[in-house]
Parts: sequence; C-alpha cells; structure tokens
Amino acid sequence: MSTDEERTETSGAGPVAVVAVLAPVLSGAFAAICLLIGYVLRLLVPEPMFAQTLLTIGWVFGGVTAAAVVLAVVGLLLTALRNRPLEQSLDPEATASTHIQNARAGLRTLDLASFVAGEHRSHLREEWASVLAGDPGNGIVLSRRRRLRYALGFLWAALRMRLRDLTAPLWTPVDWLLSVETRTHAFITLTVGAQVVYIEYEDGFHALVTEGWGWCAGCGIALRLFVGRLRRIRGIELASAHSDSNDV
Amino acid sequence: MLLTSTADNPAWGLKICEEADLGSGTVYPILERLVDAGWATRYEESGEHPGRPKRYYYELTAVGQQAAHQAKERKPRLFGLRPAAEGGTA
Repeated sequence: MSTDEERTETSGAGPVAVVAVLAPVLSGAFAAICLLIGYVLRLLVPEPMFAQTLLTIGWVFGGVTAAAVVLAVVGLLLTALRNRPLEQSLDPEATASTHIQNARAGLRTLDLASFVAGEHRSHLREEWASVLAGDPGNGIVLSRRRRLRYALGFLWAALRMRLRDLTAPLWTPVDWLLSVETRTHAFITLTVGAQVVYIEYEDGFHALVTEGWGWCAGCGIALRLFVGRLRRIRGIELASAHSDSNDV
Repeated sequence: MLLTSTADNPAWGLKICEEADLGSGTVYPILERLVDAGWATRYEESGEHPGRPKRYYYELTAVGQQAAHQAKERKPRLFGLRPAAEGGTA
C-alpha cells in the first residue's frame, strides 16, 4: 500500500484531536499571562483593584489547563489503543508485511503532530511515517509500544517547533545582547550599577559598603551564569549568526 | 552521529534516534535548528522504497562540519563562562 493511500485512510487530524492539543496550550498561555500581569500589578502601590481579578482568572485557567492536559493524554492513549484493531481489520494481508503494519500504526497521532507542526513542515508527515515503519532490513522492528512512544515524541517535537516559531521574535533582542561580549558586560554592569545606586539612595552609603555589596556581587555573578546558560540554550542561533556576520 | 554518516549509510530520523539513544521529540527540533542554521541539509530518498514511506536523510554541510570539529576540539567550559563568539555550544 502506498503512502498516499495510507494518507487518505486517515484524512487528517479530527477536530476533537486538534482541540485536545490546542486547548491546554492556549489556556496555559492565557493563565500564565494573567498570573504574570496579576502578580506584577500586586507589586504596585497602591495595588490596582483588578490585580486580584486577574490572579483569580489566571488560577482558574491554570486549573482548566491541568484538566485539559489530563483529558488530552487520556484521549491520545485511547486513540492509540483504538488504532490497533482498526489497522488489522483494514487490510488482513498487511499482517504479512511487518514494516507496512508498523507504518500504519499511530497514524492518527502522526496526523495530529503534522497538523500541529504547521503546513510549512508538511514533509514531516511522510518523514515521520517512515520512522514509524522501522528499518527491518537493519534489524530495527518497532514494537507497538515503541511506535506509540515515537508518535508521541513527534507530537512533542511538533509542539516545540511551533513554540519556537511563536517565540522567535521575542529572542531577537536577547540574541542581540548575547551575541557580543561587550553588550553583555554593559548589561550586567548597568544592572548591578542600578542596584548600587538604589541601595545607596534608599539605605545610604554605610549600608551599601557593609551589607549591600554582597547583594550586588551576588547579582553580578548570578547574571553572568544566567547569560552563560542562555548562550548555551541559544548556541546554534548565535553561532550561525556569528558566521553569517563573518561572511558579510 | 551526522559526522559518521556516509553516502552509503546516510543518517535519517530513526537511525539518529536509535544510535544517539534520544527520543524523537528531542531529535527533530535539533535537526530543524541545524537545517535552519545551514549546518545540515535534508534530502529525500531517491531510490525505490517499496512498501514503506519515503525517507529523508540528513548530512552536515561544510559549515556544519567545521562547527562540529571546532566544538569537539574545544576545551570543556566552566559554568558556561566562555563567550559564544569564541565558540557556542551548538
């Protein structure tokens, strides 16, 4: 059976499956935004009246997110379990060919992952289907459990890719800061300097030299380690941007 | 893994996951970042592939190989204190 035929059998991810994936992501993002803004507003003096409302909404959506995650996981597991008898009943002759059977397992999860990854990554559906087919020629025959693990991994990969798409613009100023050492030093110096000025202004010079300097030094070291960690996370992007600038 | 792949035995998703002992949820975002950065290329399987979907192979570009060799030669970092411009951790 060709891949095209397989594709028509499972005509894309159903609306329930799409909702199962998008609901926890969207409600989680909304909850995070509400809680973040709510707690920031609580720091203000006087505290705005709607800060507590935002926090309540945030926690409610946090609960909705948790429930949606549980429902989505249960739904995915049920879908995966339901696929097994369906696949076997569709084409009994396929049982003679292990790699075809493997390729058809978990196709619904695959469709869902492909949908989440986005249209510009349409090649991934076929690529991931080839992974689920295993490599019997080289002795890699995936069991049902391993196919399910791979299929769920594709879903996780698709979510990470889509999240990367969404957050890419937010990284632009961070990358700009991290890409040049002098900018990073300036950022840390300015932050620690602002802390020094604040302590000196609020508590006086004596408090700064007796107690405050420890906080400032700790802040500087923590920022330096944090910047190092961020560089590690953004390694590929930073290094490729650096090589691009060298080419120019 | 990509460094050791050859034209006769190219790297593809399942092979990378199995040999690197990493999940597909980890491998594919990394592969996408490598391709986007121009460090690796992806190409379709060109030969016959009866009874199974087409595979997509990955190989390092010249830039990617250079970066990988630099990363291998680099000394271990201490708390990430080395600047990325002198060698990121990609």
